[in-house]
Amino acid sequence: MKFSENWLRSVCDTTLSTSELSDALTMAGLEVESVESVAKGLDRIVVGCVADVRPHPNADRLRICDVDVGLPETLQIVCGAPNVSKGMKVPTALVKACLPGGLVIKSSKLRGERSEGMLCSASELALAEDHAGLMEIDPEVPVGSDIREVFDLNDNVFTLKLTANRGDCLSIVGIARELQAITGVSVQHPVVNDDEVTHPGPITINIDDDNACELYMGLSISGVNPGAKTPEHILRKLERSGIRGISPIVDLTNYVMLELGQPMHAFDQDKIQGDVSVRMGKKGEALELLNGQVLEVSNDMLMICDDSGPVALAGIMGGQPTAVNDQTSNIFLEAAVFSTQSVAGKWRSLGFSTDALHRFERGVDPAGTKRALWRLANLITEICGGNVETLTESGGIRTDKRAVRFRPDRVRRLIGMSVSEDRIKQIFERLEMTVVREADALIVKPPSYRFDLVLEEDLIEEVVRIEGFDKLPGTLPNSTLSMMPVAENPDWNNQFKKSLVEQGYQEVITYSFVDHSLEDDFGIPNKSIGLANPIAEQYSVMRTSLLGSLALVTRRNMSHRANRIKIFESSLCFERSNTGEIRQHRKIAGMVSGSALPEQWGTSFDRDVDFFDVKGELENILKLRGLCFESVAHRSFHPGKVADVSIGGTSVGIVGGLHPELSEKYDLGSDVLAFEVNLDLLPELNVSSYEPYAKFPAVRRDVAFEVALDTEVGGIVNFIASEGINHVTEVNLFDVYSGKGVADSNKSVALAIILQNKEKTLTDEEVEKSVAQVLQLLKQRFNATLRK
Amino acid sequence: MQELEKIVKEAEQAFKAVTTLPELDQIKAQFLGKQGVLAELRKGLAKVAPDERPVLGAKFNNLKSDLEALLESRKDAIKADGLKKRLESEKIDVTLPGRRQSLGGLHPVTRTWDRVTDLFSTMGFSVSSGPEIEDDYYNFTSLNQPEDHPARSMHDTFYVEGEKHLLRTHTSPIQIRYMENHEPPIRIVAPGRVYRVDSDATHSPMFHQIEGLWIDDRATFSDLKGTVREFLRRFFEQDDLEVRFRPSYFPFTEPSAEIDMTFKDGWLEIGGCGMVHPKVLQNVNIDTEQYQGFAFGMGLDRLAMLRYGVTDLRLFFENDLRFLSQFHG
Repeated sequence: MKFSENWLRSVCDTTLSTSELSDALTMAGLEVESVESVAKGLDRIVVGCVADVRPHPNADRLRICDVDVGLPETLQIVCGAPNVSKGMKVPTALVKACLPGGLVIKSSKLRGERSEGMLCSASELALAEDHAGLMEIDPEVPVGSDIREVFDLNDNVFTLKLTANRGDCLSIVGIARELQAITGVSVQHPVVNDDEVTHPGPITINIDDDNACELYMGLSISGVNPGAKTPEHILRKLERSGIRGISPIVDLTNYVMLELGQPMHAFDQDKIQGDVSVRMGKKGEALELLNGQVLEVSNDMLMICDDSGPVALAGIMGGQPTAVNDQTSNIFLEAAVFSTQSVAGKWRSLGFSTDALHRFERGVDPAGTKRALWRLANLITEICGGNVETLTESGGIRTDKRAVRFRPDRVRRLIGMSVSEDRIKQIFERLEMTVVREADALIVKPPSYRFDLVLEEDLIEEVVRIEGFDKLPGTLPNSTLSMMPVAENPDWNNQFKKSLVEQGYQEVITYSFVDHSLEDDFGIPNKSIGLANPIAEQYSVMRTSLLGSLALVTRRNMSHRANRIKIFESSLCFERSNTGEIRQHRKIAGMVSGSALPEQWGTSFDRDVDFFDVKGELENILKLRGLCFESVAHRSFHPGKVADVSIGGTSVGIVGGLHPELSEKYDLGSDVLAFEVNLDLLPELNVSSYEPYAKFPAVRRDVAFEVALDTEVGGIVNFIASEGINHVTEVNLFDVYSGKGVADSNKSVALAIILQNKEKTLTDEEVEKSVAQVLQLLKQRFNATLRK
Repeated sequence: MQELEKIVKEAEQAFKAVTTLPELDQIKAQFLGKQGVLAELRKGLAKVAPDERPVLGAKFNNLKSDLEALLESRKDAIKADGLKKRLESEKIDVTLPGRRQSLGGLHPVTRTWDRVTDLFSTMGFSVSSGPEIEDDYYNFTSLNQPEDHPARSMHDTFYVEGEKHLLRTHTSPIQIRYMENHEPPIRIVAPGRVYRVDSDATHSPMFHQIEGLWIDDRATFSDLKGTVREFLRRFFEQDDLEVRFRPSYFPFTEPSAEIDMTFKDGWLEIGGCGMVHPKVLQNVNIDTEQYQGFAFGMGLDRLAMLRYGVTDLRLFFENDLRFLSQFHG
């Protein structure tokens, strides 16, 4: 909401300065977004009258003028404007005046002739964009008057950021009422003359749906002068409220809307066919709106119709066919109350909003409708002439506004500070509420324009709002202390993140929505959830996996020549289950590329990171019983370098080298390793529990054997470790070798078998027996041959 | 007897002449070994007249212990010398950099998130979370924002294709979900990602919020004011930070206020707050005559920007490592 400060001051005589006014409104909940002077500078510019014009001896296009600016002597000013003429009044910049463009006026000579000032165009004064010569000033304005006063330039435009509950402040009078509540100043309402007795006109009004429209009034004025002009002061107020002047009837309609908050519409009465009805639209109907858009009417739109069909979109915009124009002499003014529901949210489907829609969406005071209509009729007849012929009303004001029971002691209970009942009453009365004291409560009736005051809490807000939040003490809450549960093992998300950071990973945060193609390359096929209204195509799908986003971050950083990348993200991922439900899982994923270690001296750092680096990091984090890595197929990964990560048989994630095709497609360069784990699938961590450790010495026996080249060594180690062979407590792999000395189809594997007994020292015999068992099993299960 | 003294002198010189322990061992054999000078002397002792033996024997023993003492001291000297040399030869340049893995780090928004939840946990708040794809009920209706409520236009909402689900526009749905399952007293903070159809220099379509909720039988707006002010002062580690509460409107609180804090020469809006609206409490079956409480919400990204002096919100989501690596401290 934009408005002129002077206009506001004209309806309430506040003594506050501009900045005090701004603060007062802001601190009462009407946030002032900006206060801007309508014109800066423009000092020493006065109204001058051109007393004489004569040719310039040395220039064809210039003329010499004598200008009367109210000083004892006229000023000689050289002027190049084509429209300068004797007797006209123009803005005259005196010597030392500074124009908005930065030009400082000096006494000078132009082609040899003295010039002591400048005659100005509107654009030179930044008052309009009109370049067509000098700005002509009304001949009635006295010579020598300051331009700032003539054009009411000592004014500021206030821009309010109003909250959705304060539709009542979308008018000058509404804001004045707020000032009344805050400061006690009284509002001077415009004088409205509504005693012209009229009779119902030929147009009858039929309201089809009184939930959508409780009140509709139509007022006919005949014989208005189509050539009338909107007064300057009204145009100025409109302009300072951000509304362009169009024609007197439209301008005055807008003016009263800004003044009183009631949106109205003027039809050309001669173009209305038959009677007016307010009804829901019908499919198939169409209406060309005032903005040129052809509206396809649907049955959820409230329409104003005549016998031929829709003529206006109720409470939003009029139609072109019945619009007033420069030929119109008979008008039909509509002032109605359309319900919030009838217009709410319509801007979304229409793709535009209007001042009327904005107001009806927030509620328009039905008690003010008739007054506003008469105010408009008064202004039109005063400015454009014509006679008020008829006033037809349909519907009526609903008086379902209930009084609120208000217990003054609840103020203290809710806000923690007491306010005296006298002060409460004063606040309520200044807010134009009626207050009646009953035995245990005040019965408070809010004014008809305050749709937001329904509950006791709403009234408490009014008290504290006007009293000021700054008066509240600001205490720390009293409460019974209780100890909160603290798990010894923190949650997986924190633990995982912390551990990744310790192992050199940098966290990133990327958007949860991605491009379709990214999901196609990295996501779970056919599971992703699309957005109906994405901000851009590349953010149109909720991701099922974090890997794609990490690939984009990797690429971005590689393009800045980052030579090592080690990143992770933790976030919800979204997928649609087979039964169509939305599933949201917290996942954590990492991506690594470049050298295994940062560049440094004294160690070989230039080895590229490989699968086993990342696997080892995951093993460090997921130190859980039953952790298992097994070959798996995944379209985003290199088929020979990818493992499913499972715990106790449940698949929880994936780790591997990205598929070379994807690395190439996304410009990721050499080998890129990645992992992703679904945190929701990880088992809860158990609290560590002490077991006595063995005091008797452990024995190590190394065994080396050959197995077929394609045997998975992890399987061998797990098998031996889990077989429960007597005394075997640990199996460690320490070498895998193929090449010289080993058959071409084989590889050599070396295991350290650790044996121990809790009760005693093992004898050689016992050790050999267990080792023999290991070898036996290796032979049986993996066809292993012992190396000598 | 002069012979004995001569032996001592000879031994002393011989010991001194060697510089390593193996050499010293050889010299030791020469004097103290089975075939050594002392052994020879001992043989001569047997031939001496019995009455002279005690005297000579004593002298011999003295000689032996003198030689042994000389030997030990020489041994010590050689060892000390060896250690000294070794230590000298093993000297390293301690100014060379250490061997290491690179440093990782958390995202500045995560650091802020953790810091904020840590601060509130010291005051007895626990942390709660919830889904990011929400339905209309939890995001709007339960929060006293029925369909077509004009306040809905405050949040431009992302909708899921083909159904009523949406991306949560704020973390308030977490409050509803928590209150549905817990009895007062309630003290939670709910941080998380939220989404709005908005994208420019100061808005990101995805950003982070944290909300707090305190419900009991006596929490007041003054308590809300005190709690938020305390938080901001602790968060910014600035005891004289001024905080201002400005009346505002949110459908889910009544009274409602915007939270402003002093910043540079003016006020900066940092969040919104209010007393939980009775309709919201009724929606989760909390008796509004018995219980009341406050809620507040703030942008974590905004807090992070202010804390770390980041001037462009978009930097948080561009994930340039040159930016992110500045927050490893």
